[in-house]
Amino acid sequence: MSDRRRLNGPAGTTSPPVFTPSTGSAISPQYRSRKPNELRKIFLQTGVVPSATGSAYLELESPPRSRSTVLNTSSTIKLSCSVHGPKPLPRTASFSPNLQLSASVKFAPFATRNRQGYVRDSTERDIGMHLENALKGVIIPDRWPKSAIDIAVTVLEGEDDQIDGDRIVGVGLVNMLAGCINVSMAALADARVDCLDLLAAGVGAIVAGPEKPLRILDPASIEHEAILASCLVGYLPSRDELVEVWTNGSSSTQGANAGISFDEMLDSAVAAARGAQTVIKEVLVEALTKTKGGTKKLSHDHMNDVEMKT
Amino acid sequence: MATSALVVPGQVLGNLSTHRAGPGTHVYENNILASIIGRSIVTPADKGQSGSSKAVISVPRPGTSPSATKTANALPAVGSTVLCRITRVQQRQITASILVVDPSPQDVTSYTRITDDDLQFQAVLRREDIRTHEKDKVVMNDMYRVGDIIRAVVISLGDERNYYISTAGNEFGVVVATSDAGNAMVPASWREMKDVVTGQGESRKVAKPS
Amino acid sequence: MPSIISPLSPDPSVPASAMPLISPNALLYAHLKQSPPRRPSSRTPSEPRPIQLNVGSLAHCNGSSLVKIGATTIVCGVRAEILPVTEIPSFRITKAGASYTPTAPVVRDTRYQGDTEKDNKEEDEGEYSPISLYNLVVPNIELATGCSPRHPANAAPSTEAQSISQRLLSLLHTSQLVRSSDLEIIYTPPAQAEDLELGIDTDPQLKAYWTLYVDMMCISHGGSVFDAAWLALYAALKDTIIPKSWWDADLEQVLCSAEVADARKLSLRGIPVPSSFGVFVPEKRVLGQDGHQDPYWVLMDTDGFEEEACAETGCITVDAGGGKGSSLILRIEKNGGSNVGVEEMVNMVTLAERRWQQWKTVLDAALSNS
Repeated sequence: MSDRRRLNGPAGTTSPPVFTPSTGSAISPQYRSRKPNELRKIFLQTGVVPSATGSAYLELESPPRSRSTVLNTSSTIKLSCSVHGPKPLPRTASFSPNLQLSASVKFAPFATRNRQGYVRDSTERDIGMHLENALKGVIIPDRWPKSAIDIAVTVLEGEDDQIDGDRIVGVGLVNMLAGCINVSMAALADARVDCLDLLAAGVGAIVAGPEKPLRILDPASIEHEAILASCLVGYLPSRDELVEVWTNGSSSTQGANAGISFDEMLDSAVAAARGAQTVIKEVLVEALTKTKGGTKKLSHDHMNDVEMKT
Repeated sequence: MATSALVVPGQVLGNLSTHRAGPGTHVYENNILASIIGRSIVTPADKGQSGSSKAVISVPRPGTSPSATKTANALPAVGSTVLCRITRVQQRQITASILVVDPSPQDVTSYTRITDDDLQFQAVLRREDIRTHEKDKVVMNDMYRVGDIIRAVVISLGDERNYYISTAGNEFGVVVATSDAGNAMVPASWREMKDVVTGQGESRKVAKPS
Repeated sequence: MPSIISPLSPDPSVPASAMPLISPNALLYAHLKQSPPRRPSSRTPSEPRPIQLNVGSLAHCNGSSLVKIGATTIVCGVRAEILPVTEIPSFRITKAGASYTPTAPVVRDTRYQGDTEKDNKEEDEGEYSPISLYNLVVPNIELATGCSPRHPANAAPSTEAQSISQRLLSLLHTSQLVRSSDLEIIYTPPAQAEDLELGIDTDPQLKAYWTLYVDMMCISHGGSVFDAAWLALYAALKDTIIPKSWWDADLEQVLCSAEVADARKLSLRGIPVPSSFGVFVPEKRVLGQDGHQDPYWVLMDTDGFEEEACAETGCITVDAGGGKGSSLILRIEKNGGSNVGVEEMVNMVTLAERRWQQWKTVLDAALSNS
């Protein structure tokens, strides 16, 4: 069944190209050049959607890109987020003394290695639910009675997990959720919706090291051959509270992975979240300074460039 | 009034023992924390008022700064003055959409804001709230027409969807209206407006120009 | 940005800031009746917004672009997939006399063998081009990204989105931007002496087509989205590389080389550039006694606010790169009113040519940087 409201292309089935085993420039696994406790650089900017009450764009530092092969493993995370509201509740909603927050995540058809259609799939719903729950933990809902707020994250590019992967899974998905949380927090703050804190998300992981497993912050899946376990937290630094925890892989309280316990992995994730929060805070303060210093400009003009670095 | 540094949500601004929490802040474990980004302000206690003599810390939602152009407007509250557009006139009540809450001359409104009626907060003006006198003799069509812009005051937060507004009082009523002929109208008296081109009068409950 | 003009407000008790909300029409009129006319964004009526372009930033695409025009932002990605001719229902070669065979022989000279000899005088493909017959280029724009309050996320495609996608498709077909020869995957069976003796056909055979999915995400909706979408589409196609591909007779499928060195760019036909405009007619009520007779203004490259206030809109698509000094008008659309006459349309072609020059400069700069 095809969607009549979109252009669907050929009647027959098209398939992604099949590549011959590459001669010479085989896809070489990339190794982590960062220190175990070093995060990828985060590029963040607010105010990218002038008609929204708040908006932000987030991009992670991309790994060095091989220019000789069509197959590209050096993808990174690129997200755009807009916040609309507080606005009236939808007609169908019943009375609520609180702000009704809804969040959704949408993948662009070109966000993954193989083209995805426009139909919303379970991954989008799943990650949207996690995002919504995390954000509900940071807003102060009783400041906005009878109102609704919509947060929409568009994934322009997702991180690749495996060479032939067509869906974002595993660490790629966890990193994506972390990005979604961070970009949404920046957009919420830009919209000046009352929040308890600057929520930030970070990912910690246990990876196979040369001798024994290692504990690292902000794992990028293509940099590691085996990720034994990973953990995402949504963290409120000023209260030292967690609003979201998501772990993959096995780790034990006893420290089964050569002495690295679940708690330690959680601590890594919290450290990563603290790092991300520094960036969010810097960007927000800088944006404030800019608007204060400038002359009276309407948002037509004071929109800054969305830079998509190559 | 002292201005301090730029703050972000979660930043500690003061303590309840010395200050009170104002708008844009919240309280956690006796500390006053910012809840929105902005510049925190300490307002000295109002001596005239009984009660606490503590200064108030707040983070104002920028109403006058350019950055206000794209931030959420404050929600209507009881006592807020609102500018509304009439969307429906019925026998017993009038429906309107709220365009501006507590208008102030310093506001800067972005041209990117969208004014679709269904994206605005809705208000209901009941027949008995239209004016203070002769409430039972009110004929709705002689008061307001669809498309009129009125100034009103919020009298209750209303039901799940609508705010209740009132135009009882001289300063409330029509501020902008279009005549049957499609021309602008100017106030002629408290109950009539005149077409600026044809001079034709039309009945309205007119707001006293301030 | 000139701050809002004070005589705008008919009633001093209505703050000037409320005017855009109460009457966009009155506000626009107040700006335009100045001499010389200025728009709220302080542009002149014929002045388009600057264009920002970035290409090749998306890793998962064959080609990609980001176009920013004022408050409008579009991200576009092109994906190439393979459509074997066996997948095409009732596939037939459209050349006269050719009959249906699943692996139709292609009568063709050496043209397909290299793109060095791409000739601009190549015959028109017309409506029987495989591109339009089999939908080999598929543009879709997504507005449901929260790009404006009117386009909430995860809604079904709005009428506006459907209309833009359809207009993009139609312009793609009528401008014949993409060459169908660029999309063909052809197999030439090895010529062997005994085959020839047996009379076995060794003509080149068309085995598959490349299909280009062009997806555009509207990140921010700030007016004239069609222009931005087309330019994003154009730049992304310009950036697109098609891997070298061949038919593997043993595997009976198309294989591709992953080497960028083997891949090729598309050779597009011309540079069509659309220029959207709106015609602003003040409401009778805001004219009052100003005494003008039916005034109106033509606004090029309308922003979101102006788009609201203009009922009569249109778009002129030109290609000024013809070389003979005269530009080609590829398409003229106009609807919603009757203020603009022939003469003005001619004037607008000049403005559209200027827009073409502007885009050419931006495009060349972006492509040389990438």
